[in-house]
Amino acid sequence: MAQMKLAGDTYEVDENGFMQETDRWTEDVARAYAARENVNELTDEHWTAVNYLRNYYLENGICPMIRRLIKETGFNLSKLYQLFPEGPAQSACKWAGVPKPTGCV
Amino acid sequence: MSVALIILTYFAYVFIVVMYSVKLIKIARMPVHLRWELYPIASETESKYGSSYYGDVEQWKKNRRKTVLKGIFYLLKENFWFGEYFRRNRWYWLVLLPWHIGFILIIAFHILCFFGAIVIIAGVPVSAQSTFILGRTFYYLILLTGVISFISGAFGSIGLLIKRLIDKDLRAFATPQNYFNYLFTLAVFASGLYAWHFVDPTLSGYREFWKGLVTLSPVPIDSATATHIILFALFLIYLPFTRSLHYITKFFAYLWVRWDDKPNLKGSKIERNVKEWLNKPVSWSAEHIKADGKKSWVDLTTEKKSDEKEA
Amino acid sequence: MKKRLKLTDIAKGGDAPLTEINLDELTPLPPPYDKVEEQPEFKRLTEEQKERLVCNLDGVVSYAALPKPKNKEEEKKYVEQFVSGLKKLLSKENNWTFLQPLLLSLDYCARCQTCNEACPIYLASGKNELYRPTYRSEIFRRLVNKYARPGGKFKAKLNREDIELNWTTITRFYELSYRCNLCRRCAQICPLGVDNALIAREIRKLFSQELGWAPKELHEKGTVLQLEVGSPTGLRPNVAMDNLEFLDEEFSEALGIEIKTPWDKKGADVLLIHSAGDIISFPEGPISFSVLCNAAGINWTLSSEVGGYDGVNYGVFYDDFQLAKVATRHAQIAQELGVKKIVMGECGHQHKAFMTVADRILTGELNIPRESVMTFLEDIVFSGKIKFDPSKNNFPVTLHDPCNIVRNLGIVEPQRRILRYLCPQFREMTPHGIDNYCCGGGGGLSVMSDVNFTDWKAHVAGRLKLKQVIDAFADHPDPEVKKYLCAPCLNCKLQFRDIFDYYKVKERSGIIFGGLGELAVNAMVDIKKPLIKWEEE
Repeated sequence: MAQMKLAGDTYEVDENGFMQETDRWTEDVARAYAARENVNELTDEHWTAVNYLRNYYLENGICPMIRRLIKETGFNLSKLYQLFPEGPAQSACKWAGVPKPTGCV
Repeated sequence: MSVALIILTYFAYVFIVVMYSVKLIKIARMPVHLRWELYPIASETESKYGSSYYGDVEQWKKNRRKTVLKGIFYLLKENFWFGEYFRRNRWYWLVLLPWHIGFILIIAFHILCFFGAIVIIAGVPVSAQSTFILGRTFYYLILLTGVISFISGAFGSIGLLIKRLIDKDLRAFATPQNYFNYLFTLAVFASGLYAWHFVDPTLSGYREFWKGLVTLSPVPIDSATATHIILFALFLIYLPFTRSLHYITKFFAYLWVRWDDKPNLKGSKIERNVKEWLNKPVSWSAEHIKADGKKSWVDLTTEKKSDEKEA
Repeated sequence: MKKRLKLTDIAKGGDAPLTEINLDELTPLPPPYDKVEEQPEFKRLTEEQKERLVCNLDGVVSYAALPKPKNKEEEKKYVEQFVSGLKKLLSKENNWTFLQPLLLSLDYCARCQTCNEACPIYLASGKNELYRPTYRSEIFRRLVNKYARPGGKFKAKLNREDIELNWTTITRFYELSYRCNLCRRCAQICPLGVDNALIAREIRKLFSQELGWAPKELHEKGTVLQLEVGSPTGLRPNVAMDNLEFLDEEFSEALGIEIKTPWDKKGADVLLIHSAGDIISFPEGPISFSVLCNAAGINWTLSSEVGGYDGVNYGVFYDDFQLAKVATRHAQIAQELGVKKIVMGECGHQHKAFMTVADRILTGELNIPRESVMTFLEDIVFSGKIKFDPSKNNFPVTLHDPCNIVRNLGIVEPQRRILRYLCPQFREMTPHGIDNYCCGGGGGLSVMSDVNFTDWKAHVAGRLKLKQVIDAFADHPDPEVKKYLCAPCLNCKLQFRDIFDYYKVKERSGIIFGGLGELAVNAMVDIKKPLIKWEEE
């Protein structure tokens, strides 16, 4: 299993850098991920999306549909790409500390 | 010498028939398998664009239109023309076809020799001067099949040898046996060609030999013809140790796998066979299968709540 | 000039890759994608990854969890397991399911190499020796002959077919079995009926059923998750229903038409099984069928049983037992609902797995009639119950043929009759129908994305498809002309998403992709606003 140093701690991640131990996530982890993608400050808008994703995942065991994310956060897709350079699935989910979506999604 | 030739020839024929039969029966008796068909299926009525009965709404309510003969004819035609090679791999076809025509005709030649011998024994002389049409027909048929086979087969053997040596894709996958096969078949065809051209232009030696073979009375035979007869017998004995059976197994590969779209209907023979094999024990080792050498396919793939457990 | 790869090389060279992929060696793409320097980079492994992972085939890793033996004994154990797997593949009890097809493909190949020219991966790679369909098959054939048949070792030496079985051979061979889309173009072209894709699948089976090695997206997070939770996506029954309820509302508003998706209706005529991935990633698809079925007055339902709302069956790619378990589950759900027929969603491998491959696993009452969504939709479109206005679809449309629906199932014309009726600018790509090229995601590859595997799918496996799609719209290269690629299969759509994303196809060529149902709904007179959109609102 690959490992990654984030915010001073070492975490187990998959080969694409997604956290494998969701419960060890902290806000600093999100900031550290963002910094790796050259986003050095997380705004309220970032947190709205990250928190929504994370809570939805914890409740439902899966990331929300993009459509839902758009509706709940009020950000459209291009806005989401502005906030998260690699997009909602590759960046936002990663920063929120949930595993990479797999299985025909 | 000629006694030995008779024994060798009989042995060769019996040997190849037995060996081929054993192999074919073994393949034919294999268990029913899951469907793995591939389109186009020649026997489907709309096969020109590859359609199957699944293109019809609620196809299970309709009578299936299907004729196996269409597929068999297609395969037979392929065995004499190699059209798929002609379309897709033409240089290879150019040497492959003559090689196989050599085999087909050499077998036809021997069958004709056999019947020619019977005709002779029945009192009809087989020669160009024969007063009987039957005699003349056999004479020319034997001569033609024999000579064309020798020429065509020799050409194909040399051609395939060269093709496999100079084409680097083919060479990368070739084994010593491939080259041996080409040289061996070249020897068989070339020896026939030599005997015909230099020793026996009417092929009378074969007719005499076959007469002797049928009546079990050895006749003297020239050494060139004898060489060819020995080589051909050895060739027959060697064939079962090659992949030569593909000429027949191809029919199985098409009819029983690639074109096998028979549905598993309730109460059908397929269903009975499937049930038999579903109840065989499994011994795969991976953890998720949970096999212990006793549990069957049904046990391992059906969940407890199902009432189909007994299936 | 590179050194030519030999069959025996598979066992040599330890941890070093056999070949590497260079973009300038791949088959060229049409403009504007032709400049190598503008193509997206091929992600190479880091030194740390090279150290940690098994990466000895082509610089691409599809399964990071492939174990490395700690010592000689462990290596020997793996080799022994592999040999025992070979023997089980040849045994009737353990492999009755495919024994006859396997042996006919193993024993009667003439090594004529005709099939290579049919392989989209081999062609796209610039004819890299490693990706020849026959390279994999011939090695397997020689291993079977040497290690699983009497007198094999002697014969292998005699005939110089001697391939050594060691750790390197096994791991490379594992990876190589996932460099095939199982599209079966090579099998279709073989004059002797030999099937290299079948051989690739048997190799995968050996690894999965004997050693427990399979891509995590197919097994652990695939079939295992599906049987446990309900779907490889992790979508649970309540979440699936909740999502669709949300989508019903969303699209009722977006289209100006009332949409209600029925669930768990006992005694319905039709059980429709979508792929859960469609619900999540391409919701226009499932919604289209809700609209169409309701408008046509069909008595239909979805199922919220575990597994009943996701029709995928990855077992068809790698494991007969997982295949049987998933298919049996689907059939049991339909049986309990008491439906007259099960209709496959727009998913190719679901079609093949459930309609044909599993046909001879489902016995008695479990063998419920199963129908393709293509004929089902054709019946709806031509029933006269829905009014269509084809001018609503007046944009260039081309059709991608999913291998599993067309070459493997023979369903060619229904989807075309629909398109010719509803899309005035429909055009075929070349080649199409049963001769089509795979999207590059076939054989389970489209859901695999470990390490740098997606790069391989986008650059190599999907290359000819991308070329075909661009060529099909060559008369309208301008991105301002909005074009639609109809790909009625979830796995194909996922693959297109990766390719389109890598090459920015929407931005540079104005092409979007989606299913077939969407085109039907988009042409409906009754919808107030279009379903198919090129720009986000």
